[in-house]
Amino acid sequence: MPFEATVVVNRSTMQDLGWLNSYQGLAVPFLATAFGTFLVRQVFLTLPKELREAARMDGLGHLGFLREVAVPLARPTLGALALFGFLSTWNQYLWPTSVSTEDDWNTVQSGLRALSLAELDKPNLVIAGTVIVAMPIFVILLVFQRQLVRGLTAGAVKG
Amino acid sequence: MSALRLRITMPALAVCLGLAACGSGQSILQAGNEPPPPTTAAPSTLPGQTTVPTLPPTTLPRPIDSLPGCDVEALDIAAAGGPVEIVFWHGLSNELKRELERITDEYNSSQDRVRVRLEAQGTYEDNIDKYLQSNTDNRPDLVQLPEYAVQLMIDTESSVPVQACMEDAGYAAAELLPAALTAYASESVQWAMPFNVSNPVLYYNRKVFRDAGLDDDKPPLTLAEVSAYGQQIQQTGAASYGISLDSAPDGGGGWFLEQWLAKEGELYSDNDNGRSAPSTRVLFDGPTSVALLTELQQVVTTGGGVYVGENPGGQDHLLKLADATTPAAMTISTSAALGPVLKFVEGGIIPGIGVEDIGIGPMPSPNGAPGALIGGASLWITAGHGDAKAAAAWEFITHLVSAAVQSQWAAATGYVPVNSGALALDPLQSVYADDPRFRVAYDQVAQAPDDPTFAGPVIGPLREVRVTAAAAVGKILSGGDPATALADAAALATDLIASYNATRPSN
Repeated sequence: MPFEATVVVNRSTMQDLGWLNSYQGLAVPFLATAFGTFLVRQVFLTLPKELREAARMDGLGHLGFLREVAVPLARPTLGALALFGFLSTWNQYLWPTSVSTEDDWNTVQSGLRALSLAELDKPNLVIAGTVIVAMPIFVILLVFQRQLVRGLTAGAVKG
Repeated sequence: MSALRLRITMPALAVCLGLAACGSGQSILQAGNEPPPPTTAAPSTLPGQTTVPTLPPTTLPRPIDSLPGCDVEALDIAAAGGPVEIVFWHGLSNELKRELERITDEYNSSQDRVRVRLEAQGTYEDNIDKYLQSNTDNRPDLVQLPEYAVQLMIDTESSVPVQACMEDAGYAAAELLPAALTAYASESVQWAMPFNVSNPVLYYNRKVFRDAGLDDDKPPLTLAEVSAYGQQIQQTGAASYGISLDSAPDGGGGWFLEQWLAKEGELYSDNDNGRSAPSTRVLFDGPTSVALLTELQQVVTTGGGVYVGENPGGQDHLLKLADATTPAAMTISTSAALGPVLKFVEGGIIPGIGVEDIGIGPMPSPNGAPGALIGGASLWITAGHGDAKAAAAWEFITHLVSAAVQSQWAAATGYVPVNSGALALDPLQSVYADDPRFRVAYDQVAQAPDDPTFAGPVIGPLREVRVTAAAAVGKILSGGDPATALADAAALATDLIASYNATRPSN
């Protein structure tokens, strides 16, 4: 289901919750994704059964195992997922624009559009702005490239 | 038209504001003055009010009586406990935005009653969409919306008509341009206050005119002259083309068609352009329109003109004048572009064209009739946020349209001032005296006859209707048959109106 197909309904939900112009309005719809669910599931599947049994011997229940053992072990993947989430939401325009009506809540992409509208005759400024906006993504990709690939491929092959 | 003559005709025109109301011998403002509100100060004691004669009381219920009211005194009470904060959504960018911010900051620091918080929503389109999508709590107290959103806004049933505040405050509208007010009046109600007014003007390259042996102080007024000039420009090799035409919905395709029909004295849609009752169909497929677009087609085929396409960025027609290899000599564009164009040219980006080479003339039309429809945007007060907020929004509106602020605003942006008093004040007075190019758009508004055709259409889905009209103009300019293209577009537009009207709240 493309996100654009549900944007109107999602926006009115945010409005009913009173979440326009708020961090939760900007972030919550992207916390749960099908990609993230399957990525983490695959990692959990790779955990050896013995770990589970050992945890039960130590008196941990289902949620206790998840909290104390499974999630800490999946940390590299969760880190990669967080990075991946950042990379894909940083570039968003439609959603942040539709849930924010105040300057304080405008995201960097709205700012970029405002800049390109405002400085029609100064393409150099607009290009400089675009480069600055793209910088965080470049830096993160360069620094964390290895972790990102490792995290995303963890669980790709069931071991 | 001279400033003096303007001053004299203004009160006379002001008496006849509402089109429908004028037909029945009663204007909006007259209607607003009777019976005098018993609790408030007598409005007849206020300056300017005396120009409006009081009619004998009538028992007919007025449309405005059933709309949200305005209590300007609520602000006095609320402001005693501290300034009232209002949120104002606007759709301006660029130096227009900066100028609005400057005016607002000045206003905020000049008094302790109202604090205005500006929120830029991007473009007019963003502003409309966000307003429509929001519920009352999330809407701003004041919103700036373009001229094509009038019926759309009326049908949201979410605004306090400015007329209610005008009446409650005993506001003298005598100095405001009647044509600008009329553009935002419908069914005998003044809905919104015009703020930034623009209209299409002819941009031409004076140097090319001189090279072609044309008088560069005499821009073409009729389409026949546009063709003749274009041929001469092409034959002498002064430029590759005469006029560059586009078919953008908010430019050459949609908006200009409305302008041209008004200049021809034709209605665009039924029920007096939707001003006496909501429009049910468009009328732009009549013989006048067919003749008009046939002539426009000939401007391209034999008159040296060039069609630059749908012009999605809104600059292609202007940039054609700066084309390095095959430039055009003229184009029609909004007067609001004059400031940016001059700034652009001043930067020296375009070799061979200086600031003084840009000439501005009235918008050419088939018969050269003067006048133009109001474009730009107006200010709407949101209902349901309490009397104090509405009154604060009203007080800010009166500040924005005051002669002093309009003088600064028009001088800084190139918009037409909505207050005729602004012409006698600096900085606008000296701008108009130093650079008559900025005055052309104002004169077009002042010359517009007081006639329903010159109020422009109010249609619920006018945005979409413009798109269909623009598509037809595009087809015609690229060689299609005018009659067929217009008939198809009109049928489509009438369908759009029918499906819009079927879901109107009053149905």
